[in-house]
Amino acid sequence: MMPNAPDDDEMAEHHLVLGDLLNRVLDKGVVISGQVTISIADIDLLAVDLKLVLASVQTALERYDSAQNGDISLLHSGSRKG
Amino acid sequence: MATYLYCILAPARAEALRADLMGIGGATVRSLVVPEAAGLEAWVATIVDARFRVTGDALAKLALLHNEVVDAALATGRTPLPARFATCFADDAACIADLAKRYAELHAGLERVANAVEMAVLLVPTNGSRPAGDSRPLRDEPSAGRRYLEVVRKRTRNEEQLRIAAEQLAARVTAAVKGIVRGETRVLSPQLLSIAHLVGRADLQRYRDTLAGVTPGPQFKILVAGPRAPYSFATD
Repeated sequence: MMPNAPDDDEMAEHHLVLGDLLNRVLDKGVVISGQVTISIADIDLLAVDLKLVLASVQTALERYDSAQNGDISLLHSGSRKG
Repeated sequence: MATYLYCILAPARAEALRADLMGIGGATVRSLVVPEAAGLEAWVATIVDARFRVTGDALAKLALLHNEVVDAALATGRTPLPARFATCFADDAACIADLAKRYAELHAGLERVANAVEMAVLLVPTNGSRPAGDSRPLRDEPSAGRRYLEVVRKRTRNEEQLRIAAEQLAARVTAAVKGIVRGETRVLSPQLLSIAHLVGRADLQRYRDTLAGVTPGPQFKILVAGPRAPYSFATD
């Protein structure tokens, strides 16, 4: 017997919770000196279903603008917090 | 090759890292003890490429893999300080050196989150509360320009009203759990208002019961998620 498919509301809630978690994982956490490198190949992140991720990506792009570094390379110095 | 850092834990006790725990790229997660930092423990893995070339879905998948490892650390009963996603070092020695250098700050962070977890409260507008949204005027419609501006103005006003209502509800949530939570952060996005709380493990049931007593009204639904690692409280 096939399990019942979750209804639309349940699915939407699941996506919201997942999106919120992803947003925290990508944008928070302790920053140790060392190198954090995220290269976004074609910057086609608009395809991401979880729109909350975009806020984090926007942060990355803003950092990239200030770094002016070719790839989106986020080089965190030891004194930087985030 | 590089050393990928997932999280940092207070000096090891009996709880061991699962030998079969794998993270990004299928690499086995290892425990790295830092004697120079009073026995601070780091969960790391050796990865082939420290440069993450990712698009949206791949980025989300990698982030979830990162979180799975951090979650495994949380499941040991200790509370980890999650490292920022994609934190890499040239090798273990470089990782140890940096952790030792930051010991005071990391120790303070671990003290802050000790015996606690992060919970999320999402205030989600219900379908009924979303602005109905007048249709855009057709290009050849008389006074199309003026009507377009009116539509935009109305939508902006509705969104502002919804934002104010969300913040009022958030204030009620904050007041309700005051005295239970150790910390709070808020993030407002177009989809929802997200509140993160740092809650002592022993207070989780009281926290949930208290939130269940907060009535959101017809405009919002309250979703409570967690426990998860304290990403939002990893730094001051």
